[in-house]
Amino acid sequence: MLLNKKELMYKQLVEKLYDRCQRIQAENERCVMRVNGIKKIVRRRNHDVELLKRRLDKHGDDWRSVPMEAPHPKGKTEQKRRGPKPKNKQAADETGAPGSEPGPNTPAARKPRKQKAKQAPINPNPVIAPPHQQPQPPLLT
Amino acid sequence: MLDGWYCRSLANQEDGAIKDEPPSDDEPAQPARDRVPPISRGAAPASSSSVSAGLGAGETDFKERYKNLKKKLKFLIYENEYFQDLLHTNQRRLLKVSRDRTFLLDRLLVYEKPAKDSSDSDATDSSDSEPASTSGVAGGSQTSKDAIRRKHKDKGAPGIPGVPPHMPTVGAPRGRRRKILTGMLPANHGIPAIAAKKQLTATVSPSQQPPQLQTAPKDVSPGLSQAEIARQLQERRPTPLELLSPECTSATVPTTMLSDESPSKCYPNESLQHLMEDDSHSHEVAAEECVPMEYTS
Repeated sequence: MLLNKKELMYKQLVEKLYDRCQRIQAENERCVMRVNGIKKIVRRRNHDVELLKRRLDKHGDDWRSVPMEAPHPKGKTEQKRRGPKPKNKQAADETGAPGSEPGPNTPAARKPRKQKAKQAPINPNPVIAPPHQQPQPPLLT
Repeated sequence: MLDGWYCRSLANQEDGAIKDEPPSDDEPAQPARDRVPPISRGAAPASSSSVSAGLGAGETDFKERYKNLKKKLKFLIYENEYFQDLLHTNQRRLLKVSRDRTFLLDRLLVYEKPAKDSSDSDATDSSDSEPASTSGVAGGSQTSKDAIRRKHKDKGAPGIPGVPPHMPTVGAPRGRRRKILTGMLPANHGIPAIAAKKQLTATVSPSQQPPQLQTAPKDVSPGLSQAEIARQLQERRPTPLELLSPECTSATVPTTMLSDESPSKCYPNESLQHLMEDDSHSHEVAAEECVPMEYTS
């Protein structure tokens, strides 16, 4: 019986691991396909960029000396596009907001205080109830 | 199998004991002691071997597989992490390149617009560049068209060699194919004609065979009766006389008419005359010979 139980346990573990391996393998294949596609697109864009550079050089443009001001807002948009980072940034904004803007600080601070105040009076109610119930028996006697 | 072996060993020991009993009484005690150890020895290794075999089979099947799968899973996880990182880096690179592209396009539009509107040297330069780009586009289209034509030619090429094995003639394949098909029909008709001829020959051969068979019984039947033999002798005698002189024939004819002989004798004379007149008709002669046989019967 013990041997059979062990065999069954190992069998179940083997099946679970096999399924998990299959899933990860499939995910890896999908990632590879995506990476190849992106590389292809990047190659095309690089080709386009080279052509544009040549054309601008022919026109005598000083595009190389232009300062890099635009990427800041684009950077934010890029981060927003991604799933996990926008949440982190929102949290950072919330933390940064009270320091930068005093106006919104007060309602944020007031709300938790109100909640705390609400919680405080609720607690004594159940405390008072048992002493009322306790003296009732002696009155009856 | 092992149990059988132990039973045999026990039987051998019992035989030994039986043989040893008559000489003395002290010996029977020793074989009793000897019997106990082999039983215990036999039981232990059998159980241990079966237990070890079962454990080994189960463990090797699932436990080892479990270990191997753990290693494989670890490797796959590392590989997945690597691919994820690679994907992120490529995405960032793509974003960077796309940003650069948009920036450069914006800069180029600033220069291109006034060049198109005004007719200065910049306009001429732009016009020179534009036809180059257009010529490139046209060249691409031409190359694509040429490729399409080549494809069509390539498609046509395998079709042409396909025709000769089916149709040796050249030209409009459909019309000529129809003609040749119509031409093939008489060939098909000719084949059944040949077959018909073969059938005719086949029909002729069996027709020839039966008369050969028929001739044999005729030869046998005359020899059976004596009367027939006499008739044959009579028939043989007149033949040389008739051949020698034609007058004898004329003499014999009136003699037969005048003598008023029996009808049986008249018939062989007639048969002889028929032989003189029509020698080629052997079948008719055979038929006539049959008639007198019937009269005799």
